[in-house]
Amino acid sequence: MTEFIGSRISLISKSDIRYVGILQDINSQDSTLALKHVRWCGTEGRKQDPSQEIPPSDNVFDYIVFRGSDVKDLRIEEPATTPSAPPVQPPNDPAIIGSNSGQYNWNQAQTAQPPQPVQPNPYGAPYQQAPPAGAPYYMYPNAPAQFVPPGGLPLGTPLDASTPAVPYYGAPDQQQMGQRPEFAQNVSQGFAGQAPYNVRPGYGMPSNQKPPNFAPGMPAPGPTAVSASPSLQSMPPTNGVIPGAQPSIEASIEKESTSIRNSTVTNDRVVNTTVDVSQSQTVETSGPSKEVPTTQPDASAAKPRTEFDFQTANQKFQSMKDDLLKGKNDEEAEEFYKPKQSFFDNISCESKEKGMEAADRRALRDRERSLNMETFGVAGSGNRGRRGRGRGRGGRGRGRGYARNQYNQYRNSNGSQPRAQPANDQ
Amino acid sequence: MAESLIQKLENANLNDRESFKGQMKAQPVDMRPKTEDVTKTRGTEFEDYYLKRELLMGIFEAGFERPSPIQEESIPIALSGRDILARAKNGTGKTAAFVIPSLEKVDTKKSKIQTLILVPTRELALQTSQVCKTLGKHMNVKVMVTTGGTTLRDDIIRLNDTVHIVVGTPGRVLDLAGKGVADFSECTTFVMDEADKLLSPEFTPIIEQLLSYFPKNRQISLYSATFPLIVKNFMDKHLNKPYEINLMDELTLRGVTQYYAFVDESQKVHCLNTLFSKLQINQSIIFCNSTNRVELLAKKITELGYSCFYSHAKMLQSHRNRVFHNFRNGVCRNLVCSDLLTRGIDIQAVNVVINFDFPKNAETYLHRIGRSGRFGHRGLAISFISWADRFNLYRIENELGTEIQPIPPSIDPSLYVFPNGDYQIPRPLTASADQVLAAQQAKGQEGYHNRPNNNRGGHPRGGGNRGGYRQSNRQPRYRGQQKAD
Repeated sequence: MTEFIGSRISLISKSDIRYVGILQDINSQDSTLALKHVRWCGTEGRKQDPSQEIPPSDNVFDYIVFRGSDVKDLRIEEPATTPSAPPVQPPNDPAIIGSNSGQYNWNQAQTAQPPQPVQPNPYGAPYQQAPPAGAPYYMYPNAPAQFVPPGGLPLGTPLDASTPAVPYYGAPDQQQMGQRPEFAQNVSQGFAGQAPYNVRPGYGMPSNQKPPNFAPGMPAPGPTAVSASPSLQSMPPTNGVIPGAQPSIEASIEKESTSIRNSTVTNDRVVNTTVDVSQSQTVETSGPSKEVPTTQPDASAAKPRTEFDFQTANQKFQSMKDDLLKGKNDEEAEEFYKPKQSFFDNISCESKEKGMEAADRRALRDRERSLNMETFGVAGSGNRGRRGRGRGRGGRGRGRGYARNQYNQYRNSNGSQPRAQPANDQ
Repeated sequence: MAESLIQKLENANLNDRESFKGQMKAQPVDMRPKTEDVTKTRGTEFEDYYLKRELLMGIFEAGFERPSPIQEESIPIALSGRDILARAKNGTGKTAAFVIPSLEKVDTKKSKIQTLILVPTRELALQTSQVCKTLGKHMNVKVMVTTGGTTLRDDIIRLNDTVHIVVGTPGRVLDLAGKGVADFSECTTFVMDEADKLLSPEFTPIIEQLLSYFPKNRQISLYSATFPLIVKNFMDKHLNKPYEINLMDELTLRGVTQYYAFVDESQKVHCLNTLFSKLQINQSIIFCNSTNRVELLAKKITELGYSCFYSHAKMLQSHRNRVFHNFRNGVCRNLVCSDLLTRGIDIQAVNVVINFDFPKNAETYLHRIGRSGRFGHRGLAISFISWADRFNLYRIENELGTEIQPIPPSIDPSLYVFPNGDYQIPRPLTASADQVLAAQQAKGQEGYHNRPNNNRGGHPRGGGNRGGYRQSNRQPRYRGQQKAD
């Protein structure tokens, strides 16, 4: 299955419209598949009734997510150019505690490579248990800083990172400490739980290192610590050379390789489920997945080296905006806030929106997942189903999660007399 | 004879005031330039309101010099007891505008709840109660903050003692009132901050129920920067000839410069990284449109080598409190959050707000960008506009009657960087009080008194739920720890 990611695929939906695009993601959980750079070919005479024919369009859509059940036919037009594997969402298998390998590949956004391999996190199994999934590492203490605000250092200057961030979490809150002692030790690692704790080259970097100036073409300095570690996790051990990696990393990769082998078993499951999704004979013939070695992602890629070109982007936008305004000028008359006439305003606000939002929750969620994919290269934060279930860490928190969940149900059914505080649910 | 006596009294009084003003250890004065959003006053002084001396002391000690326009308009009316409908821009002093008269009206000899200040979010409740405590520092006034996410039992215990002012979020306050624990029968002042949010369809039923516990002669004051027409229903129904104060000729703040950056969804992180390297961020708040995206972005930012906090509604309250508290105290430069912290949050050191995700409506946009440029200072608001946001950008610009300009190649620091010089950015009012708060938060309690700390031991439901969730062997270590505690 993995080898189909990155292929050019021709897909016919139930409405007989054909789409051509590059397969980006197959999600077995939501039964969706995502194409990027999608061209819309119309119905091409497949409709019985010629009046219903939809002509092709020249527009290319960046990214479209299809519902698996609405896909009628699927063909591979052109195999993937680079061997790669799909970022399939982990199957719902209790053996997999979390699969961060495909998910937390921070490089792909920059490299524009097809997404990363799919093995349920090779390192996941032994370590994921450590902190409860989705623990709120609400501080990302790369550069913990007791900075003195007035005057404002330019952000480019390093926050003084020489003091470890430990005190933050290791603060007086005993319960916290009790829950995750390992976190206290590894506070400076950002996301614990995704990698072996001993394999954290990134965060051990000389912390007074300056964030790089992003001169074009200039390689990111040093081991590019921060980005190195997460990407390591997603890499099969076939890659011997990891820029900037310390020997210990390689050693521990070796150590972990057994678990990778084991995980291929689950990989097969992934394949099977996704085949169902796509309902395509072509795909089905593909057989069980092989371990496809990924290309070594450039560890420094997570950190953009060039400056974002605001001007070009804005110019592009300005011209489009002008077009937009031309059409709209006529309706200008509407008034939103006239303090002389009325105390009240008529601007768009949340309470007006509420009614419109009743739409399909699932669709909303799918949309967000694909958006996340685009922005972060990951569909979710790994905290799915957290609410009410995974929310709690420790007895108290868990109880609260439960309570809240109950409360929501209560409120939905009853509306008016909540027992607990309605949270601002954003 | 009587006249001369009065004369003497007045003199004595005045001298007295002068003297205590001199004695006080005044807060360092914030000398940054301010816009007329806060300077366009009629020139009254706090002394002009004949406030209690203890209150005045608190006001001056907190570093307040003279009333801001909204305070000037609202304090006398509020003192007169009339219902109020007040509209003023973000960060122009609304909180003190209702806290000061509320404190003034409190009779500390009476051990009854006399004022309820309702706010929409828990963080805002903490912040507002802190202002009450600071300004009322010398008054011996008992302020209690009560919100969801804390143990109800603690609040009930707290209410056995005297409470004069309750600051809270609607659900919990109603809960306490409904149980008969909080007695509002002599609570004559009912203030709603961010009133439009509190009177959104989601909250209105709660508010109306709550009102039934109040005496007939209660004064209702509504404060916000936005008042959609939807509020009018409530106003007509429950307010008695409210006095309208509207200090907003336009909706947006003068001091906040707004830019947009057109950016492909997949380039947003890249774009943010560039901003981090180019801008002189003192502290920044970065808004995302969902909790998931908050966490994802926070992680990304770390990967880029910058530190950040994050906060959203699905986190434990104790964690939320900590993030809020520490960010306010400048522990970390960047805060990624959802719309949870869109309203009311006052962190003066924030000079840059970034809409990583463009908000869906004008109201949210307005409140978000109002997190910078507090109290008439300067700030920057940068919105990332993806292809899908283009209509929204136009619409919001149009609705707010403001211009969001394309981000220039270089941004003039004078637009948002606090000039070097002899000024002091106020941190949360009085560090000492805040430390008390911090200590309380760390222990997970919010009351004013020190009480046995009993909400850590385990939520009653938590115990019951333990076995129900995660029976699988997913988290063996975790479960082991649970048993241990």
